[in-house]
Amino acid sequence: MPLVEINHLRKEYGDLVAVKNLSLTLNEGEIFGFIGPNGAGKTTTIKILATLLDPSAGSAKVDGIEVSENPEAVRAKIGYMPDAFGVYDDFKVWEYLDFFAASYRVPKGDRPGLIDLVLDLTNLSVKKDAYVESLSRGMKQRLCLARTLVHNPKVLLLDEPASGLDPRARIEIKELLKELRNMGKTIIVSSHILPELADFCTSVGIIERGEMIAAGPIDELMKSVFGGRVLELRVPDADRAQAMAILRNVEHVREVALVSEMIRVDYNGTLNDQSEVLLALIQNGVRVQTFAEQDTDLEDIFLRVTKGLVA
Amino acid sequence: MSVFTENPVLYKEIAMRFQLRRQSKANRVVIYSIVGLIIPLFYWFSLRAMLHDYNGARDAFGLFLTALEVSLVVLLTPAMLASTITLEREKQTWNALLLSKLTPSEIVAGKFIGGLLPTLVTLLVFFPLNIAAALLGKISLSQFFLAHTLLLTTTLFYGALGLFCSWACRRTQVATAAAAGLIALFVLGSPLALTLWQSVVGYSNYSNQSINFFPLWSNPYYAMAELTMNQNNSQSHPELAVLLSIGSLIASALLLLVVTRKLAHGPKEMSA
Repeated sequence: MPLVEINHLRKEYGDLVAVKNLSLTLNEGEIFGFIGPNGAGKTTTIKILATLLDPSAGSAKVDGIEVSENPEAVRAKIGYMPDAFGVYDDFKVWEYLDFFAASYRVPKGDRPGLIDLVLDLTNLSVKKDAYVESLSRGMKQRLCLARTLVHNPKVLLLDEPASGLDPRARIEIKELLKELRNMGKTIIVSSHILPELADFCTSVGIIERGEMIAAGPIDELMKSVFGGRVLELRVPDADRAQAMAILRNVEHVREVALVSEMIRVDYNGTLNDQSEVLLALIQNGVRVQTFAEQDTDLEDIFLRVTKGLVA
Repeated sequence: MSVFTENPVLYKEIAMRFQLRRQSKANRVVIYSIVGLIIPLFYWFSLRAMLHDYNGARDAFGLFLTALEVSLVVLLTPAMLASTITLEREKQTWNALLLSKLTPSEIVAGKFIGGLLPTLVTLLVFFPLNIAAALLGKISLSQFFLAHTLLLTTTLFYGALGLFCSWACRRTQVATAAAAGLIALFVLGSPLALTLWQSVVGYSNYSNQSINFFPLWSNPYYAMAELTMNQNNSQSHPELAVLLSIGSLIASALLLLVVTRKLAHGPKEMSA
């Protein structure tokens, strides 16, 4: 049974449709990266899963439980970290975690061990007796993540966990998420920092204007968006038009475009067939100056499939 | 989990309202010194006024003490409660509370009791003086009991009103202003309305019948005055204190019930 199942989800705020017809299925242990421009509907979707918002239509289930029908049961299974989170500054770090452990009905005797465990996991053990107010933003972010773990949830919903952090703090959060992945948690994480997601997500979904416009494992997504690989070549200005016309007739070439004086080719042939592209140009007298396969990443996919629109 | 004995929200509220540990040592010394000086000084002046009853000083002090305690309830209680939920929203911690396994009753009870404690502790400081005033003055045991019941139920009602405003408003400033406005309506509105009414029907026809002016029945100052003054004549009206106490109790229970039910079934999120 899938751990997270969203079917034809829709959320309206008056005339504004924040999420429309969004479907998603996640199995245990998967890490799903939610990508989209501001206002695309990521946070709304996460809040619906977190039982903070009711969907206007469609269904959202966590571990088989419909979020709008039995929110209490869903809350026991999720750990939610909002993009704008708060902490109780007047508490010490261990008191803050103890408060939330008590709020999740963790027995009093089990709490000290549990607190030590989550502090160790989030690398905050040395700050156990420090006041929350004295922590840096990165540490507070990790503390907030520690808070979401005190009741050992199956699913973690992390909304922009690395936003506003310096590079070192971002790396720390990334390492922490990898650790959680190794612990078998199912994680939905939204982020604007795309290379970070590519590093540890098993699949990603790109959302724009409330619609999921592409979703799946990054490799598959790359293949479907770019047709396998991207080739970049440079030819003299005089040969450019001819080269582009030739390339369009080469087998396995899906698309040819000019990007900053470079000819960009979406190619879905094999590595062995790739030499045919170069051969076709040379045989027709095109003077090829450079020819290389371009590394594509999540950012390229994102830029390719989105139009920069918001809901 | 018991709403009172094992409620983390109540523990948090108490810890945050009463702790001085984050103050510097110098600040703590100053705070303890002020409290340590003010209370004995106030007791000394009070006992002096009560024991040396010259030129009606005892009666005047009795009036002052009653007005002071009612004013504390009127001013302190809503101010403490009106921020209790809005501050959580403003600090972005409210959703975390709602998503935990805490029931709405635990959250409301923790916030409510925690918010009332400063007023109750302050009233407790005055309690020995109230006993002394009752023993030295002409207050009967039933009046003493009724006056404290009125104080307590008024505290509960104004506290519940503050909590309701805190739930209904997004910002602390708005919630505090709303609570203060509603309370001003009870405390200042009713005598103003009486004055207006007297100006319509004629002061001389109405001056001795203010008891018949129903809006005044919601005023704790008036009810307390009707209870503790005029003890030697038939113009004393203790029934007002009884009615106001019962009304306050019912109103506070209703307000708390509304907030609890809304937390359980109402809009799930009201962002700051």
